[in-house]
Amino acid sequence: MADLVHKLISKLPHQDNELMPGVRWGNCCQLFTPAFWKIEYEVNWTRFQHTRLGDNILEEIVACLLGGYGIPAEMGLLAFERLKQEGLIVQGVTLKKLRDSLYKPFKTSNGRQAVYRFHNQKSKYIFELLNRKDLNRIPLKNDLELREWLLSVNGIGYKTASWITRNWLGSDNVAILDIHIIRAGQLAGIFDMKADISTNYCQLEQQFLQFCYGIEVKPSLFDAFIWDYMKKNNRFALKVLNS
Amino acid sequence: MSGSSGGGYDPVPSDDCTKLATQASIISPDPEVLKKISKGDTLILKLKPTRGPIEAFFNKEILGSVLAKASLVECMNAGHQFEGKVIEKHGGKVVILITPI
Repeated sequence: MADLVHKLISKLPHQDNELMPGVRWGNCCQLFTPAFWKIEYEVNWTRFQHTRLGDNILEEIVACLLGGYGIPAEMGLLAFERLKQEGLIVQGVTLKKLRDSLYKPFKTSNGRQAVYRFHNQKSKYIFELLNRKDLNRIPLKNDLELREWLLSVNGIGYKTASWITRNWLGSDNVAILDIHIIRAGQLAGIFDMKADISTNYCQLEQQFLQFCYGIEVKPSLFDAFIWDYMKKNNRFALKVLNS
Repeated sequence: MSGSSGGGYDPVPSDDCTKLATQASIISPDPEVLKKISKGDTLILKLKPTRGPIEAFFNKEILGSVLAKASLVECMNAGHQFEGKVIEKHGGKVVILITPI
């Protein structure tokens, strides 16, 4: 490990070198600089991979629709597994069947019973998706075309569309930007402190991808890596951001 | 982004700072100070607030910076003190074991 780190550091550009307009490499020993992320990524990237959640694209969309903001990952996956086991992720499924299935309590890994929040809203989204007439024309060969199609699905915004595209095609042309990635980008100096994914997703995504190319990391692994690191150090990252 | 694959970081809450022990490399060690240290020597670690770097000193001389984890920086920001024991020295490569004082 120490040998790898020394080798990597010896190849880093000088900390004052500009990585992209207005962004310097920085000191690799200072948290959250581009140089810091480069070293951390190179040492740890093998622990990360993108994986499909579903066996087909409809399952993948449903799995990601069931997750997302306000829903713990475990609950999203439990809900997905139930719909799958009950044979409800099929074209033409009824709204009632979806709603009834998601309404029933779930047993979590710690043995507790939990309800799936937003079961009404998510059932409606899934019902609308599975009753579309163009499901046999989903563009599955091109990542950006797939994402564009996904954005036409009610309940799916850029982040979820990018997540599905990433999972299904392993795309390096999209980024899954959420608050953790935005904070990391702000600390590294690649995003403005007022960066907002709800109004400016595509521009921020381009900046993030440019950053990835600049430090020569694979975007499809790098955002997952940063997300994990920032989530686990969320309190401290916030403190630094506010200092 | 729930559903992302997990990694191997173990965040250390502030109340566990007294138990934090980790290995780290010294980055770009000063050649003159490097000559003076040996395996087993103890280095004093100081943090440049808020996010580092952490600098390693031997007899009040700076040896170099430490490539450290967020948990260590967070603990030092909270006022915990750490020292580094040289466990490997090979050419310009120095590895230290960091423990609380």
